Amino acid sequence: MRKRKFFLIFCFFGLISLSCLYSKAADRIWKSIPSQAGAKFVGDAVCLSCHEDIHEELVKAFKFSAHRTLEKTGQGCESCHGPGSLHSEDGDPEKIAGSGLASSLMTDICLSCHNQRNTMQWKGSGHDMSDVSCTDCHKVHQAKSVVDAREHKIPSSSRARKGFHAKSLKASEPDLCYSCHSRQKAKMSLASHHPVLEGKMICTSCHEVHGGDGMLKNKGRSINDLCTRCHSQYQGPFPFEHEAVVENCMICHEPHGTIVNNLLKKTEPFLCYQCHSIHTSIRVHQDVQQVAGVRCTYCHPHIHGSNLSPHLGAR
Amino acid sequence: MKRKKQDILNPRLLLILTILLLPFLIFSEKQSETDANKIELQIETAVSLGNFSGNDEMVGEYFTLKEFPRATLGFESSLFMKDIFFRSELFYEHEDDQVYVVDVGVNNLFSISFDHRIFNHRLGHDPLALPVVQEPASIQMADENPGGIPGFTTGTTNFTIKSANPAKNLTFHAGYRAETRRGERQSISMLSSVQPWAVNGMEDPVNHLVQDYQGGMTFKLGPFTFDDTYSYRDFSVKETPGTISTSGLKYDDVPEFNKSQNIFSMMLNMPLRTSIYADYVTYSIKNSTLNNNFGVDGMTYDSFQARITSTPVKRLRINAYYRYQDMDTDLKKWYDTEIPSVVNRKVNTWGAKAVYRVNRRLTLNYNFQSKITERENGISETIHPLKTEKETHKINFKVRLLKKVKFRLEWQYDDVNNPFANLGLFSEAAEYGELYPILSSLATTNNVFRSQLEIPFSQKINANIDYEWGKGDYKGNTDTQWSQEYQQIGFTLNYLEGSSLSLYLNLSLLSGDAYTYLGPDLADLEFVQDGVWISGKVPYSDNIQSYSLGFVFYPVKKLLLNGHLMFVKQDASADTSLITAMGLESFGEYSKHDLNSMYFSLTGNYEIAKNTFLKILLIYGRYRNEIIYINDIDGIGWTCATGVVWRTD
Repeated sequence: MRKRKFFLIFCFFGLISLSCLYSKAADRIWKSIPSQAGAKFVGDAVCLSCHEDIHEELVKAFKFSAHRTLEKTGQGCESCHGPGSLHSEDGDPEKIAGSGLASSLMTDICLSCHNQRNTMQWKGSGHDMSDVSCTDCHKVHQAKSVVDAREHKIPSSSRARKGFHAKSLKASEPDLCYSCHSRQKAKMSLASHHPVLEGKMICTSCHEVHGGDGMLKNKGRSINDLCTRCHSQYQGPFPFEHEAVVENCMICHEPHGTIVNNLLKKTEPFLCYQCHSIHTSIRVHQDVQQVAGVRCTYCHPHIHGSNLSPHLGAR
Repeated sequence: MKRKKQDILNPRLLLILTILLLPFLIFSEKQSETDANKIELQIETAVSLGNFSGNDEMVGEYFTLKEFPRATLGFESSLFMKDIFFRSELFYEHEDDQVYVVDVGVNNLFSISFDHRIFNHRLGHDPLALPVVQEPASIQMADENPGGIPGFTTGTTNFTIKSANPAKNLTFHAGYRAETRRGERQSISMLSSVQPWAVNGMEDPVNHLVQDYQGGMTFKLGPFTFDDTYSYRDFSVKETPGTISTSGLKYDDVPEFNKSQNIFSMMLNMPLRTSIYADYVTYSIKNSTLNNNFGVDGMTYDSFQARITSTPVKRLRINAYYRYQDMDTDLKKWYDTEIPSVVNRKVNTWGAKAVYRVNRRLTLNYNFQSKITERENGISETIHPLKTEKETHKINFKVRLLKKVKFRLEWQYDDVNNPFANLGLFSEAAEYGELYPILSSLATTNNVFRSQLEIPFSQKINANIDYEWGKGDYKGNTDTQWSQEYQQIGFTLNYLEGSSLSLYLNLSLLSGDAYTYLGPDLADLEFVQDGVWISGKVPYSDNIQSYSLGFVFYPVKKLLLNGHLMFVKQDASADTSLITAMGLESFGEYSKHDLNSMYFSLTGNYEIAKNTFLKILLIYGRYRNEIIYINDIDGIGWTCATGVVWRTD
């Protein structure tokens, strides 16, 4: 353990030292932008000479977008669209990186800068392999906000609340996700559900949309690590364990929504009968039969594991 | 539920610190300047009235109706000034429903996010009533707190600071997260060790605090990107210590722990649009209860993952990955110290994916994954499968027909060998006379079929139809087999009439059938008094119908109406008529869920002066579930808020 810590500290300071040798970031960015052979950078003034009229609202909004700084620190419009000299001569959209690009090429442009932490997992992820591009969910040119209050969107539920971080999304969560993931939308309206409809949580409270194992926020860890991020009281480990809990929370629970309380896939005792038999044959204890056949947690209340009782609560 | 003093980093303090930073940000050194300035502001105040019938203060698990009449406040702002972006939101509904958000960003330097929210979650109260009482009833069931209101108030605080320019070679991030959960739960007592046995329900306080501290950096070096994130978690329990065990030792009912974790990731971009990603994750958990009483620290986790993605030829993208996970603890089973904990396991996962774009209209996609989980068992006993092997195949295709009509079809097949199951045979259970049959909660084969059709009829109308069907086959230790099947169909219609009316209609039907198989059909083993053994399939089915309608409408100038209506009907039940044992035919009562819920909201905004609107918000909710063991979240309630909204242009 000590050697591991020392190794990590050594790597950390080593990287700090190396970073001093590579302080310029600008040159690297442009290598990922697809461009025509012979094209050169022409500057924003040339772009705006045509596009300021064609896309008047968009150009106005761009001044307040997250990418407005590229005007000064990068090549402006050509930071993402690539050198525009050939396109500016005849306006041919094939001669500039635009909306006609394949989704993977479009994503490469974004990843040339936004390649850190979670977006490092994008390549090969479920969304990437399903041809979802960054611009399917994110606004690039528009102002930095989720949805303008004055856009008057149709409410997704009766009790939705606002306040989740602006990420320049085209629509707010979970409506954005529901446009493709309709089964999860149906499950969220079931009686027992995480409070997404009520606006207390959003899809990305659990899911890592930019990649990762199963598109979850457990990066390299087990699914139980994701659940115990909030439900920490079940982390354990418990000396008297319930094996199914340790194996996978989703053996018993369905996180999007269930009819049964507590996000259980089936009600007791039927859920338990998937792995356990009934106590019908407690010969000397027939007095408990009536209880044993109804809710297992009447006698085994510490169903997630126990510090106290070998039988998870019973005797 | 009483609120107690918080001992985490005070969210109000964090909010004040964030706002105080603003002047420093304005005068900080900047690498660029922009000329745009903009301020947007919206303030709304309202007085809410409401009422409910049914049970105390809640309709369903999250619709809170309390403190009427009450004043509510909403505030939203966004500010662009030179290189500063500032956004804040505040909503105060009542003490258990609050949201505070602040985002501050300085061009190319750093950004700060602060988020604090509180919400209420109500749990059902179990009256501990048995559906059938056999005489003489020698087991006592008692609800010791019949008027109790179990539920939590959850508060979360998130604070992050990170470098703002992702194009930089070296960026940092740090964060703090806290989650508090306070309230009461209905705790079922353990059976007493001697007769007369009793099962009692009582209210137990809940007071948990989780604090996460995180820091890390991302470093880019040519084609390489490295990221390292370290986090530390502390989980503490403020409620009273738990029950004293029969051996005299005193345990906390919920174990406190701390968790130390590091995630190191690397990415390499290569020619031919090929990239390699790898990460190494390690964490260790130290559990104070285990350490104090069993001399065991907790558990450790290590995993390594590598992934390569490439576009070797035009139109073809491929991905291959491998992951190794190793979980360990020194815990042993309480009944046999030669059997290690189920925590101990190693998982090897590898897979491959391919996407081929046939032409501009058609894309084919194939995924394969193999996952092998190896567990440890005791020397003399096997309680669960030593090796579970799961293979998943997934094929889908997407086609664009007739202009913008899109159709997607997917089929997924899972094949599991030795699914996780209970193999235990408790020899000491002679008293109970039981054999735990080899049932499994995981299907040995599973098929899922999904389809989705998007049809834009015109610029005003588009529709979406989706269908999903799934079936899992389960195999027990004998030739017992059963299956679980579900299907879902959904329909969504969106309509947009110019700028005056837009609405959507959504219908969704979910239906599922499952069979729970009770025990092996072993006639030669006597497990009940008369040699009658329970056997047979118990069909368990659930159905849901969900309808929702939303609209935005400008009936006249200056008046905006928007609303949402959702109606859900759900039921679940088990048919226990096939059970042939005495006294248990009626235990299907506990499976009968019959729920009807409806939620409706209507908001009206009328412009009474420039930038000033009169707002009325009406919310109505109804929730009823005819289930024997859940009470107190049924009810009908409504709120009506009337107020004024002022906003800038």
